[in-house]
Amino acid sequence: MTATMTHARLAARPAHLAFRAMSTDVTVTVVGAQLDALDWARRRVCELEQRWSRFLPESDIGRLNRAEGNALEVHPDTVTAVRAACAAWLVTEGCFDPTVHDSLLRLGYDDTIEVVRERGGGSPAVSLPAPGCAGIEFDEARSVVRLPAGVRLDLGGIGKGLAADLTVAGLLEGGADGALVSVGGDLRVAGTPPGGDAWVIAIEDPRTECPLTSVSLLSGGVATSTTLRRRWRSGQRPHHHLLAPTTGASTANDVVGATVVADTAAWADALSKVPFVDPDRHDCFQHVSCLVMRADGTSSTIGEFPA
Amino acid sequence: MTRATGTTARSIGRLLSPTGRRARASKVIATGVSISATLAGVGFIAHADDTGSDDGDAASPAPSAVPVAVTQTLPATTTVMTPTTVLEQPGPALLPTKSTEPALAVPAPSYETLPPTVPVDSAVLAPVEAATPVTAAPRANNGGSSAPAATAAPAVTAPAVTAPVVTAAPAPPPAPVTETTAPAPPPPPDTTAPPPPPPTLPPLTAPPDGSSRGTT
Repeated sequence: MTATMTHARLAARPAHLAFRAMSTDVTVTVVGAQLDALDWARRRVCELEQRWSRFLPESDIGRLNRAEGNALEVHPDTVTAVRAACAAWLVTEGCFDPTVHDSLLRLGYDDTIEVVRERGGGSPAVSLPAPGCAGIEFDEARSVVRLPAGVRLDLGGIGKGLAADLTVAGLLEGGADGALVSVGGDLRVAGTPPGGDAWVIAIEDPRTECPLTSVSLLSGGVATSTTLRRRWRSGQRPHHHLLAPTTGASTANDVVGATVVADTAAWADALSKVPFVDPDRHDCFQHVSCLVMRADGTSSTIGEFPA
Repeated sequence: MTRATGTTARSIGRLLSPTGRRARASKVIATGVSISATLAGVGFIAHADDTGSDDGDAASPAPSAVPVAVTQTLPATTTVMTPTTVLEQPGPALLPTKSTEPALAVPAPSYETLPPTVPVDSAVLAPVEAATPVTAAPRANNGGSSAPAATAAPAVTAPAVTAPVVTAAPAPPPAPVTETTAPAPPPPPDTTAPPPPPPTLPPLTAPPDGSSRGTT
């Protein structure tokens, strides 16, 4: 990356870029960066989408999902993503499960959310439990991944979080003093904040779409998941994209939003799924903070939320 | 730093290095014999990497007709997921210290430094004018929109003192000799005072640098 950047630096004031990728809004803020840092960040997020999107047949994830039990050589980024997803599956004991691909398809989420919404209708969906990560193999030294036959991945949110993590890391490695990357609300900050002592991150309440609170970070990841955005209908039934892996159906409790603050955006995203699947599960929040928002308008925290 | 961060950092370092990128191959690796679990069986098990090797020594014995137990193991670098596999764990975000927290929406009480030579009697505080409770930024265990607004630390009315120094402020004063306008105990509700901001108001004095929205 360093070789591709010019040595001219932007002024000390932060520079911003907003664009669409991964079917969502992406924003990048860099402080003290080189001239082409913003463009590099855009290209980086887009190339990760090309590798990880389940909707692109020739992406690494698309190829793995068709490999039917065979091992494939993939880009090292993809091995990193598979490892991160498997780690989250372990820590959450399956509350976060990247193998919900077929479960999502069964509910009709088989294309980008815009296409699925527009299509609507369809036959009534019968949910399909996710197989889980047991048996997945990955080899970082050889850049090889093997999914057991019948196991297919949807990196989804953790892919967005990891994209933010990798892009921020690359920006700093390329010489930026500080960087913020948000991919659809999965946000990572590190380095020098713009004009302050800390990065100030507003937490939006998905129930009102208004700011609920804010957190100040020197370095870390923030992710908010909600059942109120990615919704569609299959048959006459409404669905959302947060599934209970053991049933393959959309979660049905009163948790409608969860924000997690952790060391990385990938971890924040993965852990933000847990309250939807098991609202009473707190043990995996030992080192992170979680703000849980419920349908009745109440909110609660797990751990000390740094607001 | 957690193990997770360290691992990620190593991976990122390798991924982003100019020589670390690897071309994506479309071929299937190890077809026929997967790299999966240890295989132990009777007979000769062909390995993908072994096929096509005809470098055998002519003097070497021919393959024995006797069944031979062969064990094939995964490369040491391969991780096979099981419920007991040990991988990285999440870690905490790095938070600013108290001194670098953003300013509160409502200014904290101000303090005046008294010269050390001020007579003790003059430092005695008269009953302080009733202060309106202020809403402070939620600091810890914020209950979100449903939680009552956190209020400033209970104010203390400084009693008449005989000591040369009065330090009855609700928070550590900026100088060792301080105090003149510490807030009084919460008074009866002042109907003329503006209502405190709603509990959901973020404690910002400037636009945030980013926003975490619920789209994932």
